[in-house]
Amino acid sequence: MKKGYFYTLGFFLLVSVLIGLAFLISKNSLESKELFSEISVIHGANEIVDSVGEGFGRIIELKAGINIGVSGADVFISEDLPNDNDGDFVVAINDYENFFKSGGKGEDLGVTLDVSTITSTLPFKIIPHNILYTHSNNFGGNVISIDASTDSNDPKFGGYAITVTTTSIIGSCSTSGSTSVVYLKLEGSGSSGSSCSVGSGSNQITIKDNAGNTLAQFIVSNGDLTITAQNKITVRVLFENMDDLAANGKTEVVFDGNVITLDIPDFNIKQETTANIL
Amino acid sequence: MEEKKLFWSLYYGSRKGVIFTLDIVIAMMILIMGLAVSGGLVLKSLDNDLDFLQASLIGSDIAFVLEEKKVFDGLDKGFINNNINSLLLDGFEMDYRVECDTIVMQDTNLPNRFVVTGERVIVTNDLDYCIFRYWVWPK
Repeated sequence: MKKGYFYTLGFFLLVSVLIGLAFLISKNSLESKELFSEISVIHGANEIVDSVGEGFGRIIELKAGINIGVSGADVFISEDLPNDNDGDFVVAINDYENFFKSGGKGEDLGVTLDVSTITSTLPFKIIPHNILYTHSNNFGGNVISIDASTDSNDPKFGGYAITVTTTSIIGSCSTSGSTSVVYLKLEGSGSSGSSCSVGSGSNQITIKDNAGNTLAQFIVSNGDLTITAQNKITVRVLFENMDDLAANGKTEVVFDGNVITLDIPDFNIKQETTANIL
Repeated sequence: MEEKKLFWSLYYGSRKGVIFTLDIVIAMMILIMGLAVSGGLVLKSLDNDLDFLQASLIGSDIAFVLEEKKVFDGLDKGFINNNINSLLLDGFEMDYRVECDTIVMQDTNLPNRFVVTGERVIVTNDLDYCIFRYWVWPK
């Protein structure tokens, strides 16, 4: 009698343990499923934001006439100054913004773009050093301003190596001042084989044509660079020997400020971010 | 009374044996039911979550590579299909739909079961702004 009773009790306990373990596995699985769903939603949201940023990069590549690149520890940005692409570029950016608005194919993505600064000064920020490259007289104007925010005790890069190409005949490259926080170098090439070259050692360079007219002026002050073109030039600004870039490989060029808002209320996702264009 | 007791003892041998057998039958029933419930729960838990997580990553990776390779320039369905087939892992299937302002193209033959989905904004070289929607699932 007692033997049977213990057998029953033993089986009952064994089965209770089995069911308990199965419930634990099932509960764990349900939690995994919820986690998987959350990861999928977040991953999907990031995919949308990243692709919108890539879209901006494509429009810049196709319509802004600006070339941005990274080579080792150097970052370069080149464009014409003044940049004649401003009209087409602004139209393309506005079309892109409308794509996400009501009536556009992308309206159900929950994306809103703020393109006001992009269509005006088109500011780029070089990460990780937060160097700001902007068109201070609006994109299409004749001035580029670079706010490098350098610390004299710890400059973020070696200096600026400028390459200028012009259809004018270069008469001279005159210099003044002396190197401050970062250096300024320039190579110029014009028509009829004309050229000039300035090594580091000054903080101000003026290029003139063979008639003595100023083509462009380059001034470095406290590490910041201002480029003013009086005539059309193609200018390539190379930020040389940037700290950490070659080592950690995390160089990014983004728009300054948040330009993308993603709002998906069903999943309680609201994200404001800039666009990574490189 | 004594006769009845004797009858039981003669017919079944011993009442101890009857109760012992019933105990085992009940215990076995409980055990089998328990195993069935546990097995069901465990099998349900193993419902290939990892396959779908992998499908999700495969889909987004393929969409990213297609965009980086500028496969959408020209919006050529055959070219897009070839590139997807060359990137898609064995054991998975992928369908897609490209929605632009003027063009909508698709290659969809979705199964009647759970699939992973994702979407990506694409800009073509002709400045067509489009959405690439995709679905991936394990075969």
